[in-house]
Amino acid sequence: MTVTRRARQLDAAALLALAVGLVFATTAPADRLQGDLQRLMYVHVPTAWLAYLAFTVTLIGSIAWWRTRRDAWDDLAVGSAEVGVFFTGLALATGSLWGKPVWGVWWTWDPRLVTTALLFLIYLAYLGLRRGLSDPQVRARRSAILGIVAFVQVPIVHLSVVWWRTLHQPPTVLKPGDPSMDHTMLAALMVNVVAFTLVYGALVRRRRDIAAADRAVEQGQLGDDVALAGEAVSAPQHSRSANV
Amino acid sequence: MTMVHWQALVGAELRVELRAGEVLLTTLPFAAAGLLVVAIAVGADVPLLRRLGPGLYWALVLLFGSLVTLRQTHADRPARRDLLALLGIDPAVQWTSRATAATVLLLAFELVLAPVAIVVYDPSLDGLASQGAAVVLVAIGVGALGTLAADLNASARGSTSLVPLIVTPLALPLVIAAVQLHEGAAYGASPWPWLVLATLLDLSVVLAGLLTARPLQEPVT
Repeated sequence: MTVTRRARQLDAAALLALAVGLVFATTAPADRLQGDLQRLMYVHVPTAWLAYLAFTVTLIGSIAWWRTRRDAWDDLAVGSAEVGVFFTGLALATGSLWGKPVWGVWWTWDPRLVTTALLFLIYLAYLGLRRGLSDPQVRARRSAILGIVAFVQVPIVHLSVVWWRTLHQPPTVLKPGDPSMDHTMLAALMVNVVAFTLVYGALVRRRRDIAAADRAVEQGQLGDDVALAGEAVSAPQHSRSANV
Repeated sequence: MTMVHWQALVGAELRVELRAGEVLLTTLPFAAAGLLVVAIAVGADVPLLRRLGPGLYWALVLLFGSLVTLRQTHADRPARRDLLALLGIDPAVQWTSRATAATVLLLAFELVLAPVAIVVYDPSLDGLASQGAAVVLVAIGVGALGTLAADLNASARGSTSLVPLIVTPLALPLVIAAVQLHEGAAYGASPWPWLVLATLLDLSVVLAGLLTARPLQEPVT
């Protein structure tokens, strides 16, 4: 598997953006009530946003695979789902870290928390389903269906804070009208959203390449010039048997 | 003709269950034991047991219900699917018959388990009509979702653990609706919002099952 120049550029851009995001997150004014604890928002909100984005891309990849039957769409769907599960887990973890000092508990039965945990579980099942199926066509077909059905959870998570009484704050940025937060903080948040989105893009790109390489191995399409893990090791040769 | 196929396939599924007794003689006693064990663990706190009962009943219906759709005695096997495909039976009819059989078994499961929950937990019996509707809607929803999840996981490694992982999060609105119907009846609240929610979820799952039945049908081997 060769790493293209564009992939390297994307990796570098993501790292640079993360560094800039870190500067913005640490220099933005502290919250009047929560102090520095509020800075977790610069990680928590981008990871939650990426969960939405990643599972939307999985939906698009699933629908596109369904229409075209092109493997590249299946690679995109699974790559995005894997990265989305990682970021959803990170959003749950950072939310929990913030919840303990502010709400007094690591976890509470809040609609936003519960629906996000369910979202995490459904896409874990999506990844589990893919691992359980060995035939690439069957795997792509079934996971495309689950990728479409599971997406129903995403609007439920976003609107849960509107539909039910909740401890979690209502939408601050993704809502009609002016965002309800200080503009300096909003700028820092936006820089981090962009940085994390670039990281997401770089990870999905790498994951797509791995999926394509996996498929090439499954179909025996790797060329002779491609290095394989372990090929430098050879079985011991017995000179006597070789002479016979 | 479609109706005849559907009836024959549902009949076959139910006859197999009648002979094997996997749902009513094996799964159901475990669920009933679950109700008893939790009551023993909580102790003789009658008001607390009254509050816990309905939620625990629906949680057990959801968890054991997904096992009902996964039963080992399921008549649906690859060879049988191939035969039905060669006979030209519509995949949507096959899916509907499996979902119907699962729903009937779940209904029986719920109806037998309910008296155990009533005797052990002594919950209030207000709003019996809406509770009856909840029993039917949960059976349809879990039956259809379980059948869809079982189809997605057919022949997959680890499908026994994957099906509950798919069914439980997606069926949770049904459990919430059923519990809220019970709570609301005690305070005279209108049952309609929860009944509409459960009905909409059931319709969506049935529609998804019908639409995906044909694409999920594997080529005959």
